[in-house]
Amino acid sequence: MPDIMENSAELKKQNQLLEVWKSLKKNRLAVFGLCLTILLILVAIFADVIAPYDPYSNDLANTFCYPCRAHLFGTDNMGRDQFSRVVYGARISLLVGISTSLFGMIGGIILGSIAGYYGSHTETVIMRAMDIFMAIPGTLLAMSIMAVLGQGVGNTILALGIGAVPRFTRVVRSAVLGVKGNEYIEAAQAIGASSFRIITKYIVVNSLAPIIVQTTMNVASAILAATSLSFIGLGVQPPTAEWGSMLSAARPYIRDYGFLVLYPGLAIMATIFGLNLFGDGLRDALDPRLKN
Amino acid sequence: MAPLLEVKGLKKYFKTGSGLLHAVDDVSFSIEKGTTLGIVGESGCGKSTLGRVILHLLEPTDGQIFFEGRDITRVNKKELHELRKDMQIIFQDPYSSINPRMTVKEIIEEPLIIHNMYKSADERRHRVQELMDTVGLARRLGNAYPHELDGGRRQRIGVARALSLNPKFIVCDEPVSALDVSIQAQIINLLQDLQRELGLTYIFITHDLSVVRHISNEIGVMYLGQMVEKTNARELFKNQLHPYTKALLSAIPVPDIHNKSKRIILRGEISTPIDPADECRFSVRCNHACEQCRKGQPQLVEAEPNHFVACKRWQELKGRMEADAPMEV
Repeated sequence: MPDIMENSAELKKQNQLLEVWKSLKKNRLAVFGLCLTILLILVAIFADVIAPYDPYSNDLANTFCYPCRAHLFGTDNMGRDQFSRVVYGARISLLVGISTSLFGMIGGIILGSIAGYYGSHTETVIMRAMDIFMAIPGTLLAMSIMAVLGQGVGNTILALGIGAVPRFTRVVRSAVLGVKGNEYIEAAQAIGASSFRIITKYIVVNSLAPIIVQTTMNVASAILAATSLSFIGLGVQPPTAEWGSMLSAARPYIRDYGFLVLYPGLAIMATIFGLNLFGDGLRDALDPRLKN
Repeated sequence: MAPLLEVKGLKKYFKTGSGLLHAVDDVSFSIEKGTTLGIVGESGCGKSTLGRVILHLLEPTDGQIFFEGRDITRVNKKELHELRKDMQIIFQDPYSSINPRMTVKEIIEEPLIIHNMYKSADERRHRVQELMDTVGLARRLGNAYPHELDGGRRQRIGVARALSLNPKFIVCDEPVSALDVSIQAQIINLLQDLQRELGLTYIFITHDLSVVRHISNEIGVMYLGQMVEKTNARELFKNQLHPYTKALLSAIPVPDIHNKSKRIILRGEISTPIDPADECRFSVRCNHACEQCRKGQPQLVEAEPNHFVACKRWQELKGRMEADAPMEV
C-alpha cells in the first residue's frame, strides 16, 4: 500500500513536468533551440568518437588546407583538423557555460533569498553591493579577476561566475519578494519553522521558475563571454581547442583563409542561438500567466 | 478560574511614511478555557493584526499578553518555539495559506517534524492519518497537491495543520470567509465539534455577523483598532449600547418581506488610523456625536454586568436610540 502511495506522488511530480513540456512543445522555435542544445551536448559527450583526428596533433605538411572530404572544416596554420577542434571546443564551452551558471545560480540563491527574506538593512547591504558589481562592465570585471587569478579554464569559470552572481541575486530576490507575501510563509512561522527551513522549503522551491530560466539564458552569455576572454588572450589558453581562442589564433589569416574563422564562429552562433530560443520558450512555458 | 488568555492594553503601531498607524490601540480582554471570543469589525479595523500580535507573528508595541497566567509579552526564541505548540492559527485564504509544493501529508506532517514530536517516521505517519480522519479528509488524498483540492478540503488541511501540535488555543482568522456558504457550514461545524472534543479555546475573527453569532460565547466589536463593545453573544444581538454596534447589526438582512427594519446608514468613510486625534474615533461618523465626544477618547467601561462599552453617551443614548430611532431608513 505505501508503495502505491509513493508511486502516485512520483507520478504527480512527473505530471507537473509534463505540463511544462506540453506547453513548451507547442513553441516550435523553443523545440528547435532545445534540439540544437541537445546536439551540442551530444557532440561534447561523444567528442572523441566524432572527431576524426586528434585536435592537438600538428601536420605541418598539410597547413591551411581548404575544407575537403579529409578535413571537413579545413586545417589551420599548424595543420590541425579544424573539425576536430570545433568538436572538442564544445566540451570546453559547455563546461564553462554550465559551471559558470551553476556558480552564479548558487551564489544568487543564497544572497537573493537572504536579501529578499530578511529585508531592511540586510537587503540594503546585499543589493547595493550587487549594484556596485553590476556597475562594472562584465568583461572588464572578468578581465580584472583573471588578471589577479591568472588564466585557465578554472579561473575563467570563477571570474565569469562571480560576474553572474549579481544578476542571479536580483532575479532571486524579486521572486522571493513575490513568494514572501503569501500566507503560507506566515503559516510556516506560526508552526515554528526556522528561517532556514522557510527559505529552503517554502521560498526557494516556489521561486524556481525564474531561476531556471535565468540559468538557461546565462549558459549562453557565459559561453559568449568565455570565448571573448579567450579571444583577447585571457581565459582558455592555446593550444586548448576552444572556439574563442581558435578565432583569435586564426585572426592573422582571415584575408586568405576565411574558413578558419567561419566554423568556430558558426559554432558559437548556433550554440547561443539554440540556448536563447530554448530559454525564451522555457520562460513562457513556466510562466503561469501565459497559460491558456 | 484564571482565564486561558488575557490581554491588557495591547497596542500595535506600524511606522508608515505619513505617520504612526495605530492598527491595534489599547485593547484588553480575557478568554475562558473552552470558550470562543468572536471579534467583529469592518476591513482594516485591526482584527487580524490583533490575532497575529497575540501569536507573536507580529511583535506588540505595548501592553501585556498572559497565557495560562504566564506573561508571554516578551519571549525569547526558545520560549516562543514552545509557545507555538499551545497557540495556533487558521488562516483566511486556504488558497494562499498552504505551500503549493507540498503534498497534503507533508503539510500536516511539517509541524510534527519541526517540533520533533515523534521519534519514528511510522508514528508520525500514523498521527498524520489520525489528524486527517479528525478533520474529515479522506486518507487517499494524502499524496495530493493542494491545487487538486477544493476550497473546503484545503481549509480542512489548514485545520489539521493547526491541530497537529495539540494546541490549547487557536486564532481563527476569518476561516470561512473565502469559502462558499455550504462549505462554510461544514467548516464551522467541524470547528465546533473539535472545540467540544478537545476543549479548544478560539478567537474567531470575522466580519460575518451571522457566523459570529453562531459560534461565539462572547463577542468583541472593533472599530479602528479599538474595542468599542464587548459582551456575551446573546446580549450583544439583543441590546447594543454602542452606536457603531447598533449600525453594524442593523445591516443584517432579515428574510421577511413584511419586516421593515430600520437600517442605520453611517455617513462617510472610516477615518484614517494614522495618527488619530484624541477623540472618540467613531465620532466623525456617529449620528449622536456631540461636543464631549471630540474631547478625549472614551474608556471601555462595564456599563452593565459583563457588558463593556466605550462610549461617553451610552446612558443617554440607551433610551433615545430606541425611542427616536428613525435616523435614516
